[in-house]
Amino acid sequence: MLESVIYLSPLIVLLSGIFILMFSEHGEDEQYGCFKFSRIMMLIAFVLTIIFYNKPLISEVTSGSKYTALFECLLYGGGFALLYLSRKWFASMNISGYTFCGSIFVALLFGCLLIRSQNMILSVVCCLFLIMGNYALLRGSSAKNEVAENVVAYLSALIICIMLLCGALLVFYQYSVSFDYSDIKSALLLNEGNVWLFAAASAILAVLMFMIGLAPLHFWYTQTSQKSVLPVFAYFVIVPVCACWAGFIRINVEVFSPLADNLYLFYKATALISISFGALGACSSQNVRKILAYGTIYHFGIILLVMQSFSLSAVNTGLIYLLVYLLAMYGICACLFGIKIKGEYLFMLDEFEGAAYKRPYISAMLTIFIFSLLGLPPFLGFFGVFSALSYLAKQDSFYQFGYIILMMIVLSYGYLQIIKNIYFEKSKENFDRADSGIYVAVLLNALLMIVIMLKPQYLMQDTYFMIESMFQ
Amino acid sequence: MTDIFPLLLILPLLGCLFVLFAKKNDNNSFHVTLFALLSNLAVIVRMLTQINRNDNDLQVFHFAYSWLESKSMELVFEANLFSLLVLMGVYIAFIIGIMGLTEQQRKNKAQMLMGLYFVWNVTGLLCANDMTSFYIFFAGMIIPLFLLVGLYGNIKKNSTLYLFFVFNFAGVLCLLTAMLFIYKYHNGNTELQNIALIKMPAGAAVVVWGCVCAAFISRIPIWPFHYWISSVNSGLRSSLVCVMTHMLPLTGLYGFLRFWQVTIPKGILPFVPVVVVFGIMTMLFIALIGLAHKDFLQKLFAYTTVYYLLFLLATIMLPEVYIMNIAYSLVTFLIVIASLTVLGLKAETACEDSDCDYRGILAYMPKLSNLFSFFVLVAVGLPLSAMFWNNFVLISAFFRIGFLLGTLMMTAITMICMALLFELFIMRNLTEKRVAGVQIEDISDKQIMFFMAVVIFLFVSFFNPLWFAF
Amino acid sequence: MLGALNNFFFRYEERRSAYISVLTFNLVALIILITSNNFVQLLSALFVVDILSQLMIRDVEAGRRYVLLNMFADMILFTVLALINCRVASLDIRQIILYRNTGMHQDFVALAGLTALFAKLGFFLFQIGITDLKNVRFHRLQNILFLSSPLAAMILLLKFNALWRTSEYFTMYMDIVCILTILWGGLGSLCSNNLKSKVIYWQMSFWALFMELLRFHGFIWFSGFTFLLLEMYAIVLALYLLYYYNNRRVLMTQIQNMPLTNKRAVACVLLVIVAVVAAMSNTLTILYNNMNRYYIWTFAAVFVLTLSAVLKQMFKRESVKLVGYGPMPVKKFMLFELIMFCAFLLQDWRYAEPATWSGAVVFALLCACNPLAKTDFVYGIKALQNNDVLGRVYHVLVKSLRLCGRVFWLLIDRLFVEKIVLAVLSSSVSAMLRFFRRLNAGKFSGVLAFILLALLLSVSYYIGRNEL
Repeated sequence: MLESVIYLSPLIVLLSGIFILMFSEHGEDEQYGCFKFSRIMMLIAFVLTIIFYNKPLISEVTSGSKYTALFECLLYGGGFALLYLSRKWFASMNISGYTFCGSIFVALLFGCLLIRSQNMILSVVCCLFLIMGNYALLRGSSAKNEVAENVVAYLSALIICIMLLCGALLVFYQYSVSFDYSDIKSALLLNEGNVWLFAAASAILAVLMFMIGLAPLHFWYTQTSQKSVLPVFAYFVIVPVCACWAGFIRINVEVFSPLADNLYLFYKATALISISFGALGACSSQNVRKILAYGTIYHFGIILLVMQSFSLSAVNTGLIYLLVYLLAMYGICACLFGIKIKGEYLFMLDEFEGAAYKRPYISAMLTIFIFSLLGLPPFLGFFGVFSALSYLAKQDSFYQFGYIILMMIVLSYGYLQIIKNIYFEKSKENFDRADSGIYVAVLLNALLMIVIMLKPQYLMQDTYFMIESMFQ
Repeated sequence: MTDIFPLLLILPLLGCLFVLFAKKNDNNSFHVTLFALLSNLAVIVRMLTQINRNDNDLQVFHFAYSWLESKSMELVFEANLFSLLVLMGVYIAFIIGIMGLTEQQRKNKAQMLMGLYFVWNVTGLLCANDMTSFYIFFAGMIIPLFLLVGLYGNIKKNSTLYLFFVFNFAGVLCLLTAMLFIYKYHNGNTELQNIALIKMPAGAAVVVWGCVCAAFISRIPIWPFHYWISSVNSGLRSSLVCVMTHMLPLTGLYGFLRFWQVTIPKGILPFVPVVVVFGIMTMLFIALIGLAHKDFLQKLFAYTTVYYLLFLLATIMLPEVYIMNIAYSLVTFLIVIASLTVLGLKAETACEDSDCDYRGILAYMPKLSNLFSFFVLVAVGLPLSAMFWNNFVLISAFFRIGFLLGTLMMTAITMICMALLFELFIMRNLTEKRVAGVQIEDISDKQIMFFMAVVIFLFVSFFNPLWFAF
Repeated sequence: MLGALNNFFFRYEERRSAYISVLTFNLVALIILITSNNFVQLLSALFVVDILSQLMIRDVEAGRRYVLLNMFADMILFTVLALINCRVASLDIRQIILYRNTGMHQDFVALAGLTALFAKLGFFLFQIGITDLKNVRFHRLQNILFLSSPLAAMILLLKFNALWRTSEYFTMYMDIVCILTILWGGLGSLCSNNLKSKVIYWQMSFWALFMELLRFHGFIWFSGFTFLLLEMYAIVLALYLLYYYNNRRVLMTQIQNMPLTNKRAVACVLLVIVAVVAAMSNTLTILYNNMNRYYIWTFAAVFVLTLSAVLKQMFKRESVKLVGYGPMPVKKFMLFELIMFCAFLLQDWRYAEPATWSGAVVFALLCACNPLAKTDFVYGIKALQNNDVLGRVYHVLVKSLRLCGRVFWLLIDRLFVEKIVLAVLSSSVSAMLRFFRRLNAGKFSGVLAFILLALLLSVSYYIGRNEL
């Protein structure tokens, strides 16, 4: 009993953090206080998570391994960085940061549960809470009226997701009585070719894909990204996607593996559509957030394309790409936090004109992270692209290989627009002084990338051992 | 022997670090860059002296770095006489480019940093002996070049800049494709000279070698890829960036040299005549364009294109025994191009600053005029450097292959040399009276001494290209 | 040596030592050219001579076409030698015998080689280079015409004639060009108003004659050719002195009465001219044979007529005493006489024939009679004097090449690559983006997305099930 409570301690910390934030929302002079408090609580939860990484948080419905530890680290890292970087903006805009901190805590709590989940109900509940967390953030950032429209659309999507998930749970219950992953998997094996089970599985996967932002369910992602404030945007591209990807991979490997033959074509088509939409979308917009959001869709498309069979090597390759993407996006978001005019973070491309002259180091790091996303060596992104394309070549998927190459060229145009405006245009505005914390965050990210670049086995080989347990 | 080899790759990176932490708007970054380049040049010369010419087999410097703890990604670096010579030419060209910067430009830290980073990539490329490291350095160099061209290129149309990057990026992706196919069939990394020995299906071989060719050809301004580099060259006003854009085709040329050292792979043997025909056509076409243009830098670009294509065709068509001729000629060529770029830019800048007519501009700057004339004469083929008789040997070899081939090549070379010479006369001829009150600053004494050293180096290399090493 | 001494004693140059050093370097280069036994030495010496001729010219505009033509000729020679080298596989000149036996494209080698020589010598169709030199200082002009590229071309001819003669077109091509050159040079020297131009045209004819004489003597050099060169040089030098003491007027219509300026100098020069003409006629007599008689007579006639017309112009007209030039210093006068006397003595008088003396007599008579006096009106015909037909032809040729380049650039780079290929690519990308934006912006895009999703799932399911 005591053991169970101890293993639950990270969750308890997070929950208590949520409650404290919920009930202690006060005046403006305590802005820094809530962020500081959140960071401390998060740090404690993180330490406890790491200590008990291989223990189930809630016995029988969760399990821990190196795989889960990896994603939890990423989740906590992203959340911590967001809290650290966002505090000044909330203070300067005189906006309450409690909702933001609370949403992050909710995302962490349910994200960790989703990552460790062994039970379908738990997974569904976690998904729903993650979606609701997004909704809360969207509502919270509706200081700008343009967001309100998207909030309504997101709410409708939320309702549809709830309906789909409930339907899926009902179907699973009908065929497998229990919601345990292994039981559902057995039910799928026994009822091969069953349309309802397939539909239920599709519903779960569709919701997860909606959360990740894969095409053709990406509309909310790009629409909200282009208009949300920077902390919310950074949250969307890092925190929930990390948790959802972990859950998505785990569900596919541990539950829906009997449906692999039925799903691979769907995954392939979705991946290719994501890649296309992502590359084209990045070229079609003048909004930097939207360009990055579409770029994210492109990268996720590649990850899905690589992982479509969900074999060990496929998942390993996809994971490498995902980690590379996340590190680069951390860096990009940190850099975007450092470029603002009169306290406002920037949206449009022409607002970034001449940033390199005023903020040379941040602009240089932003450029490096963008080139890393493009896969140019010697930056970290090269490993991701190398692994992904190498895997496709080994699988004789030459058309997909060629298509990715083509779309990479298209995507490069979108990213180049950002670099071009930062470096090659004269600045018309004075940029605000960047906080030293931004430099620290960027530097840490860069150091991490350098370490991995010098010792790529941490990325290329150690991840293999981390996911091996999932397949045993 | 291999003790100092890793220094070759480390020194430019160290230089980058020091430049990064140098003070802004100060000459520190310039001095650090120059020091890094000179040090590396000293290392190269030292390595050249260590090569024993009496040995029948060319000695090589070799070291390997285990990047991933498995053989599949071990980075192997090797340097032989050929690569060291070309590297030396590159470094001297860069030093010339740096010396040609104005006082204001020398204080630009970003330019120095990216210049050094580019040099590091070129060094790595010329020393790389395995597929992965070759690709890394091949791809890495487009970033600093793109940024510098965008910053200093005075490019009016954005599309030009995008095209510049996209063309290069497409070339990089072609090489990536080839590399991954090689990984597939060889199960890991491989040394460059063993690529031709890998057994793969015929279709895969066509893809691999086709991609390799496309990757390198995208760097060499062969038609229709010449368009992006010519449009970028026209507006450049920084000597260092100009020299960098002139170095880019070298990377493509070197790639061909390394990838098929002995024979052309069977997979693309049928396509080689196409490349040759396009090469000759481009030479003639570019030579004609060089005649038509009125700007010296455009003519210089045409000249470099024609000569790069000459070297490319020599690489493809001539046997291995001519490789050192190509090396000696290439070294001189790089130095001459860099010098002409710097001096030509000086003249053009003087023209723009003083609002003088371009015709006869050199008449106001006698010292510059003499140096400029010397380098133009070397460029057109006078026996004042090693380029002269090495080109003679190469052209003879082309005549051995085919009379028409040799004749067309000489036609193109003659046309472009005439164009350069004609431009020299235009720039030196001041038939009208001097414009009263125009004071144009000639090159400084320091620069004269520097270029005199280059002149002496070139002249002595006519008698012995390796006079400094043995 | 004559050139250097002339410059040394008579001080025509401000930077005398620099000019003498250029002449010395030129001499060294010519010696290397003569003694070269491999292609590298040969080409190097040839190119050095070209560079030094450029230094001798000094005037940028005057030397432009000359240098360009020389460079063009050098490129042709480079090509020819490369072609020979590829066959012979050796840089040794003595190995060209092998090419003669086994080489291909021998006609090309011969014709291209000859063309290069003609360009260097300034023969017919290639004379625009040397005719521009009329704006160069007289003594420099003289050295260029005698000591630089033309002489180098002759040396090349002597080295390679054995190879080139194997071509059946060699003799015919050489004959045609030399005859035309002699005629054109003769015409030019008779009609030109400019004294320097006359000298240039003389040289054209002279070198053409020289080449033909060499050919008729089997390209074997002997002392007669040396004397001929020296005599011609001496005549031109003497003429230069007359020009100098005539206040350096170049236009025939402006030349004044010479004896009034410096009687002593003029008298000496006249004597020298008569003596050298006699020596030249002696030399020509030595070189004369039945085959080359027409060439020699044509050249001699033109030469003598022109020279006499010039001298008559200088001496016969009424004029005013010129101011500014005093009498020649005694030392210079003595030295000048000594030099000319030595030149006069260096003749092989063993073969002196009546033709020798008769030549001198004829010349003196012509000087007195000036049969060409009535043709002085040609000096006034501007169209004839400013005639630059070939220059215009070259200009058109170069311009058409440039036009070709420009047209290619416009057609291929601007029209094809930029306007067609890139524009098509750009339009297709823009169209794709427009379609994409419409797809994303539409109100029913979300619904479409769900439909698409359902469709994909269904298809995937059924295909997967069929595969099972």
